[in-house]
Amino acid sequence: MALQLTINGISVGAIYALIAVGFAVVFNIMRFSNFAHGGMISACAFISFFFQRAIEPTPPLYVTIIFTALCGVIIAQIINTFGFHRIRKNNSPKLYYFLMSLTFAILIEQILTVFFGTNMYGFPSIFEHETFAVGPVIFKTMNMIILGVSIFMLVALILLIEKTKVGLAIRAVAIDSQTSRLMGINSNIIITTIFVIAGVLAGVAGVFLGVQYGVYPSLGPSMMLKGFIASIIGGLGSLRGAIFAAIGLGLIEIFFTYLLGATETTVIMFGILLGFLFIRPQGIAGKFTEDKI
Amino acid sequence: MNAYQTGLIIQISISVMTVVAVFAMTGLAGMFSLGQAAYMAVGAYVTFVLSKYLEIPYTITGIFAILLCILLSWVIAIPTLKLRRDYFALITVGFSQMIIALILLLEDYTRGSIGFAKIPRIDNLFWIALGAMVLIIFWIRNLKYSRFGRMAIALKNDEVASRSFGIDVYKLKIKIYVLASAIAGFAGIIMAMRNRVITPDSFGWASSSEMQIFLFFGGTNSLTGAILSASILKWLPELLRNVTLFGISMQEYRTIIYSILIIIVINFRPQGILGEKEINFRWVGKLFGKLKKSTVTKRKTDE
Amino acid sequence: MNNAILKTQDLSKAFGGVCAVKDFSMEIHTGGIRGIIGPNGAGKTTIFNVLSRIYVQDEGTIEFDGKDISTETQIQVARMGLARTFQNTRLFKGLNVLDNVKVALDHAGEYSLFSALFLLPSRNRKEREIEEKAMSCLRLLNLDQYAKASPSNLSYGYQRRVEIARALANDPKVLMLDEPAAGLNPEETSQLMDFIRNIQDKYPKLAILVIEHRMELIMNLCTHIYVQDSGLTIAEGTPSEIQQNPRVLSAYLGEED
Repeated sequence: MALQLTINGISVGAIYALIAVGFAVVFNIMRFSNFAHGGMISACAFISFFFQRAIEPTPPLYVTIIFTALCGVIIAQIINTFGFHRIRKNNSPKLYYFLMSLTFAILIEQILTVFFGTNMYGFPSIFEHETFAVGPVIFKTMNMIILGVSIFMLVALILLIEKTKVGLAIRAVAIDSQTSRLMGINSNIIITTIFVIAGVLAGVAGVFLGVQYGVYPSLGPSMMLKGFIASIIGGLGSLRGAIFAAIGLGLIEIFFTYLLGATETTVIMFGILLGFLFIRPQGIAGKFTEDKI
Repeated sequence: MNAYQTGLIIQISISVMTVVAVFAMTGLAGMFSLGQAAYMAVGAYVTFVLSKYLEIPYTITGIFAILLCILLSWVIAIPTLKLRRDYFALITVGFSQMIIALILLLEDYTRGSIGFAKIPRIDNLFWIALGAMVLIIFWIRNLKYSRFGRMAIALKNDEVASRSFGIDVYKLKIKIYVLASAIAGFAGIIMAMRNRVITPDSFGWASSSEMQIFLFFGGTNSLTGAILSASILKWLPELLRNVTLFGISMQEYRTIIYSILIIIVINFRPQGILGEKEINFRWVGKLFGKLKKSTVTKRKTDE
Repeated sequence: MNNAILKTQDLSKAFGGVCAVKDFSMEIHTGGIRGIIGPNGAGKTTIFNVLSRIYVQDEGTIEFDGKDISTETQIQVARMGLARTFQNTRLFKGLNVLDNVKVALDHAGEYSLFSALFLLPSRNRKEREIEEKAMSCLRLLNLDQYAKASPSNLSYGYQRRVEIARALANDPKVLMLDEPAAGLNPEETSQLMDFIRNIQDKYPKLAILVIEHRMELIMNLCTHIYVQDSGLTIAEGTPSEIQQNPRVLSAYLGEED
């Protein structure tokens, strides 16, 4: 049983990790918490649902994932262009980025609610074999796929950021955008890249969350909050920290839900977050908790 | 005045009360919180649930509820107000979700998502709400023009520079945050009395966001902007009640419309509609003065 | 001989392995005016930031008005009478000039939040006092006609003066000026020098410490100068001593006007 829960916990944590990283990537570069990430996730969940339903015969999962990821990128770019671009141009205070992301989050959630209602849409079953067994342990196919794809994407992302030229440019802009510009790095391109990455992560997370939990408008924001908690515990600004914390959070959530029930677990999770903030606000690895002097 | 109109005015008073409190918190002291609705929930639920189960008059449980809001906001503020602004904002979201989760958890008493109903009818709620609104506007206006208001605006601008003048930034932020939260708690009680039923989902971060959006729309630095914004934007959907688009009443679209308005405002007029200006008698006088001058000049050129 | 109102011994501060200030010692007396000069990156503003307690020093002692302030906070030291200005003028937007000056007095305003909310007589009385004190400060420095102006509408030179006036509002014992002439043209700089001389007249007990790049300001106003380079004091002395010091010349030649 414990092993079963652990596997479930890790795969739940993997999704949270996708969300936390999508969130952290924008935070690292633009130094604000992108609340709209949750909205993007919800929108992508709906998109993946209708995409699967609309096309005959039902497309294989990887096609849905790729299509939704592309849509995620488009949505992210729309938000970047209509939301953040002018704030950068106007040199408005940093708070406005957050406010704008919040507004987009509300906008997306409301659009989804008005046109689709608050009812949950359930994905039809995707696999012939929902589960498979290895010895006494039963694995859900979906969990394994989520785990596999998430690990793949997160590793690819970390490699991208740490080993490639593009990643180097991203890190340079994260540290000092003005000097980077002086050295020829086009910050607009970098920011576009960031939102592409965030969009892809949101798209994939949207599909997985939609399949696991059903599709409804507040799906993204409520999950995003957990991703945010993971980001904080892991330390805002640290990708690896966010991933580890997210997986830890997934494990805690699964175990507590099994032991105590869902509603109690939610209260406990927020309690953990607030408790963490009392004790160690900069998280396990982070450094950005105070406003710059 | 019929029941619909009084109900609307009470609703507008609640909106103005909460947005004016948010003005003190965000406009004056620069704290961006998405948890104000959570304090409204605490005010509403604690007052009426306790009143019912302990059989104590709601006036007493109401006072207790507000004291609880003060305690709660103080406890939250202590560790979190040292942190960056958007961090603090997200924590208030978490806090907000936690309160809702708590309400759902205690559904034996709160009736959970079905909602807590049969809240007693209060006579003269109209005058209470209106009177409270005027009092709160009076307080916040005085706050702005006091030393606390000045220090708040200073720290909103620049905390380091403020400290170099001996301003205890942290303590002042806590004071203002607690004040704003207590006002929100009270507004929640009024809301419960008006609606006669309370459900957890009216107290989520989306409702708190609405208050912030109203504030930014009117102009973060303008008290009159906040008042006008809170009244007009609450009243407008009522006017459009019967207009429909795609078969759905315009009211359902109202949050979408607000959001789009705010996106436009932040893009093209980030300081908000009124910006820094306050509409007061002097401003109105200046306006008349300018109009008078232009008509006098016109008459002179006509001669 | 006046007592040293602010003095520091062997002050050191490093940021993550990079040493910003090392073994800095200085003292300044009531009524005196001393300067700190040095190329960019020499650690001058860091000295100010440590003295005003924005940063905590790694090593060294600081004594203000006879008291050891090595462990005091920024707020405490400000209330003890240490005032400063910043390199980039930090006047508060959203407050006019008069309110900016009042803000410097507000922490000691002595009326409660309750009186403020209810417009009680104690609040009204104290507000009048604050207004009087702020206005007289502006009058003393010939800035009173700008009382109701918004800081962003003033020229840079005047903004600087308002910022300095604000720092003086609460009658500090020490005033630290961080590059007050930065961004000013030669005429404005000369006006600033007159302004500072006027301050010395009107506030005879005030000790002033200036960081500057503008040589005419430092050489003409200060009686004693510390020359910093890469965190170390390479020379100190009177203006004429400094002007002839070969180390200073080599560190500085070709630099500012």
